[in-house]
Amino acid sequence: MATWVLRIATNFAIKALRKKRGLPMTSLDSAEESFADVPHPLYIAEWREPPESQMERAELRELLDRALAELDDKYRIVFVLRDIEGLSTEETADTLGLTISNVKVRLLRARMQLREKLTLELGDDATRVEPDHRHESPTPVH
Amino acid sequence: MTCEDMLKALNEVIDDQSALALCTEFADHLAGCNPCQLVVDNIRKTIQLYKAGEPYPMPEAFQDRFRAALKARWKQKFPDATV
Repeated sequence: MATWVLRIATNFAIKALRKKRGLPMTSLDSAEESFADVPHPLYIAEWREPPESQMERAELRELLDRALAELDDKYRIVFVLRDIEGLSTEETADTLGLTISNVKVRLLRARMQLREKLTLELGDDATRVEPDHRHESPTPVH
Repeated sequence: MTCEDMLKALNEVIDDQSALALCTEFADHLAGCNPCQLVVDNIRKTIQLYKAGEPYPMPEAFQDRFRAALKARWKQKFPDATV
């Protein structure tokens, strides 16, 4: 689908949602975001048996919907376009008028928040681990 | 490897397993760090769940307004074309 069509659809949907909530219109653009500000995971555990078998489909759908709805708009839209709709980072950036770097940071934020919420519901407490390791090396990755 | 570097690498690896080959420091860390392995696994499963979900139906009124907006934009962009 042409990027401009996606852009119209996205802006239209965002406006409709914000109007519905009675919120003022604000731009989704922002100053450059940083990976350094992404919150670290808190609750880390293996998920129990496949979610579909541990809860009714409707219940699972409600959990997914709720977790997605609780995300900030600007993170939700990136997650939907990238991970659900399958757009590339470049296509997502172009559709939303963001830098590629901002798309990547917002995507990670969305993924981490969703992971946290879902793991709280689906995680096996017996396998919980503490995120207590330190990333101490100051040297660049590559 | 700083936390910022770890998070950057995490995003890339979730999208493309082969990115691990390019980031040996992260790969080495991941091999020996259960919490990070779980986080990667959790995120992959999260994405799979959302991808497998049913599409959200658009309310009819929204569909009508959306079509009208698309038509208007199309006319603006291609004034000579017939819709």
